[in-house]
Order: sequence, then C-alpha cells, then structure tokens
Amino acid sequence: MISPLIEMELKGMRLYKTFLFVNLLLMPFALLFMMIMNSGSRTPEDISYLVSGFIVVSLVSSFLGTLTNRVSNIFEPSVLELYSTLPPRISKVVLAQFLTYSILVLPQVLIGLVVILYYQGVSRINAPLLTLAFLLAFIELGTLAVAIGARIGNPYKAMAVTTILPWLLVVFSPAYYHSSLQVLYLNPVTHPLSCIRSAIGLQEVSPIPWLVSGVLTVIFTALAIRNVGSRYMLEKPF
Amino acid sequence: MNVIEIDNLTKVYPDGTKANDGISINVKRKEIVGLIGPNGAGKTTLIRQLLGLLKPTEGSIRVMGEDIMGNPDVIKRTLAYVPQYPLSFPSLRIKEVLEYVFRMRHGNAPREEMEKKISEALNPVGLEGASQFFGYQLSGGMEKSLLLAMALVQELPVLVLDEPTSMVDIVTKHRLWEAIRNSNREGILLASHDMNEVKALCDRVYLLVHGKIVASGTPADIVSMIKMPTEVRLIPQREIPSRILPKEHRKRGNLYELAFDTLEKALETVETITKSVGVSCLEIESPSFENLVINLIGRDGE
Ligand SMILES: Nc1ncnc2c1ncn2[C@@H]1O[C@H](COP(=O)(O)OP(=O)(O)OP(=O)(O)O)[C@@H](O)[C@H]1O
Ligand SMILES: [Mg+2]
Repeated sequence: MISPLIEMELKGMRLYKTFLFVNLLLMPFALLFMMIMNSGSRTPEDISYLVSGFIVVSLVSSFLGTLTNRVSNIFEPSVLELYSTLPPRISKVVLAQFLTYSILVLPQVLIGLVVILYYQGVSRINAPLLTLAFLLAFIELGTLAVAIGARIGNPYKAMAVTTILPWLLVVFSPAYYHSSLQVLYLNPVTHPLSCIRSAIGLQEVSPIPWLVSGVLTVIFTALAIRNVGSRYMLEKPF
Repeated sequence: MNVIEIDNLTKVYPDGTKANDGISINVKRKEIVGLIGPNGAGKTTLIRQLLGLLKPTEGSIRVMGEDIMGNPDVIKRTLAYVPQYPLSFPSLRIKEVLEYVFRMRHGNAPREEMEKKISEALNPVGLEGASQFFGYQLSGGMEKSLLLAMALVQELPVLVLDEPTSMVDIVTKHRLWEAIRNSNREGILLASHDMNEVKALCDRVYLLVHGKIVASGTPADIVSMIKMPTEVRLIPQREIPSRILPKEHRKRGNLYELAFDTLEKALETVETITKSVGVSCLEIESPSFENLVINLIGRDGE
C-alpha cells in the first residue's frame, strides 16, 4: 500500500532528473573524489574522519533539506484538502516521502561507507553499532524534517529554511574539522556524527552522544507525530 | 436519510472571527445543492469542516447518515472533492494521476477495467485527447478539468465542489456542467460565485452572507422572493385598450413602454395583451439572477 505512494513520489521527480543527478550524485562524488585525491599526506583515520563527515553532510543537505520541502508541500491547505478525501492518510504519504528520500540519499551513504571500509579496514568497524547509528541518524533528521515541513506548510517559505538550515547544521558541527567547542553540542547533528565515528573506531564509544541522539530522536518523532497525526489538520495552534 | 446534513454549524476561528454562524443545510438524495455567497461569506470554512480539516465550534455534520466526528473515515469512504484552486502535478501525466487515484481507491482492479474507468472520467471533461500530457503542459482550465476527472474516477456517492469552473472558458464550462449533471451521484454540494452555474446545475440554493444563511430555495424561489421592478417594451399588432395597461406607461409612436413592480405582473399583462391584440415585438428587462443576488446581499449587508 505504501509502494504506490513511493512510486508516485519518484515519478513526480522525472522533470528534475538532471537537477537530482547533479545534486545527489555528481556534486557529492566530486567532493568525495577531491577528499580522496587530497589524501596523500593524511592518515587513514583523517580520511575516514572527513568521509564520515561527508556522509552526515549528505544526510543533512540532501535528505533533510529535500524532505522538509516535500513535506511542506503536502501540508499546504489546498493539498491537505485534496488528500482529506483520498484514501491514504497524510501520515502514510509523509512516511512514503521519508522512505523515498532515504532511498535517494543511500548511494552517497553507501559509497562513503565503502571508502571508510577501505581506509579503516573491516576489523575496526562495529557493524551492529554502525547500523544503529545510521538508523538513529535517519530517524532523527527525517523526523526533524517532517516536523519542520508540516509546521511551515508552504514550500516557498520552506525554501528559505532549507537553504539556511543545512548550512548552519553543517558549518557548526565537527563534520569537516576537529573541535571540542562546547557550543557545537547544541547542534543536533553533532551527536549522530559522534555515534557514527565511534562505531567506525575513530573515537571512544561513550554513552553520551547515544543518549543525546536517542533523546533528540524521541523529541523530533513526537513533534513530527503531533504535526502529522493531528485530527484537524488546518486547526493549527499558532 | 440525507446525503449531507449540517446542523447548526458554528465556526469561530482562534482570532475570534465568526466565519459560520448557526448554519443548517442539507443535501437530499439525488439533489444538487448550491452554496452561494460573496467573498469571505464562509463557504470554504464550511467545506473545510465538512472535510474534517477544521473542528466545528458548535453543531454537527452528517455524511451519508454518519456523524463525521464519530466516524471521521466516512469522509474518505464516501466523498470526492474538487478544490477551488487548481493543483498541479507538473511531472505526472494526466493518465498517471488518474491511475494513482483509481488504484488508491480500487486497489488492484484489472488493468482493462481501470483503463475503461479512466476514459469514462476523461471523456466528459474533454481531456481524452490530453491523457499523455504532463501536468506542466496543462492550462489552468485543464487543471480544473483534471480535478473533476479525479473526483469522478473514484465513483463515490457524494461530490463536493468548490468553484469547479473558475478559470474555465465558456465552452469548457458547459462541458463540465454537463459532466457534473450526468455524474449520477447520490448528492452534490456546490459552492460557487457563478450565478449561471448555480442556475444551470442546482435544484436548491442556499445564500450565505457573513456566515449566515439568509435565503434558501430553488433558484426560481430566490428570484420570486423579492419584488423586482420589470420593464417591458412592446409593439402591439393593434391599439391596446387602456384598461389593460398598467398605471405607469408611455407611448411613443407604436412603441409602448410599461413598468411593473414584479416580473409576475409584467408577464400576466404581456399575456393578456398577446391574447387580446397580439404582439409583434417584445422586450422584457427583468434583473438577472445575478443582479438579484447582489441586491439581496447588498440589502442584508446593511
Ligand atoms: N484561518 C483563519 N483564521 C481567521 N479567520 C479566517 C481564517 N480563514 C478564514 N477566515 C475568515 O473567515 C471568513 C470566511 O472565510 P472563507 O474563506 O470561509 O470565505 P469564502 O466564502 O470561502 O470566500 P471566497 O469566496 O473568497 O473563497 C473571512 O472573514 C475570513 O477572513
Ligand atoms: Mg472560498
């Protein structure tokens, strides 16, 4: 029942194929290519550090950004009106979008992982922990996108948020640099980044980022469910 | 059982705007009911409550006999909706949009059946030749036609339309009216500004002003509800006896100019004249339905 919705979402992208190809594949892989080409003087850990940053940046810019925009389109009053009489619930439509954009960002994540595997070696990677870290990262960022998109309910306004927010989240996180600045911990992206890095053996496994990630995931999920599952969709408390 | 039954519906927005005020309307079986009113009268507010998107402050709404508060899913099960504003699906073909809607509604029905139902929905709205068009290739009018086809292809008993033919040319308008009239639903509720549309389609009309129903009845009832001055100009075949003529009249050569309080009186007199002396040329000017409604709304707004 959810696959036709995903199919429709994917078909709806045909017009933007070149745009998507450039944004989801060409540009990220160009960046990855440059990182690797610049790796001569670096240790494998350094490269893995950057590539793990690259994966999270992909999640933030490609996944969180696009999903926010698409969800905000569904929550436009006229679209809500249309869906109010069509069979699928809005929550299902949103779930389909969540899955669609998870699938689309997957190549970046997987290729990044392959690079990390190559430099780090399989033995240093804790597979179950890494799976959990990715699951948390996807759910945390995805539910944040849904919560924001549903709240804004207008793709033009969402555009303003989705051009600025990913930049802020990336620039003020230790994705591409080392830093132990305390303020960076206010950034929700910092914690899943730590989880992933601890799962690939770049830093100690400490419970704190996992706890914070878990708590953030719960909060964002609750917000997303509140905004998506409310009974009277146009009855917004603001 | 009424198809739609709205009882004492009141909606006060959080900012205090009372957009619907004690509205009671119903749509009986096989009826097309119109909801007319000026901008800001509260039509969309009413429809959004009917669709379960806004919570009524007071009152109840029943669709096909079921209270929508208790059974919110009755809306998805029985009601198809044509929105006021054209939505576009830029990278989907018309046929694909309808296939998705059909599949959402009827699951994995056989392909031939789906094709048949889709062409049955496309033909009456005049889009059969455009089924391979992408959304971005459609004009505003075609987008509205597509929205109607999307509602029709679901074959649900109740149809709710919010200005279904705004942005549509006159030929297409008549085609869409025909499609709505022939759609053979259990009941149809139509919100509109277009008096010709209401006259062409509706069995009954409610007139909504400032959130209140100020008049209801057949389009003809509404016309007769108010005395409308009517002017008649005619050239009789012979001299008209003065006892037939109304007090207010003028004669210029062969041409008589007569004035009446109401259309009925005017028609009666014209009939008498036709029978007694015959009429060779006739012109009646009675305010159109549109003027009439403007008058009603104007009066009520005061
Ligand atoms: N979300 C809202 N909050 C506060 N007031 C609102 C809201 N939506 C509509 N209104 C007000 O409620 C009244 C009725 O609006 P509504 O949109 O229902 O009118 P309408 O009859 O559909 O008008 P139109 O013919 O222009 O579509 C208007 O005064 C409008 O300003
Ligand atoms: Mg309206």
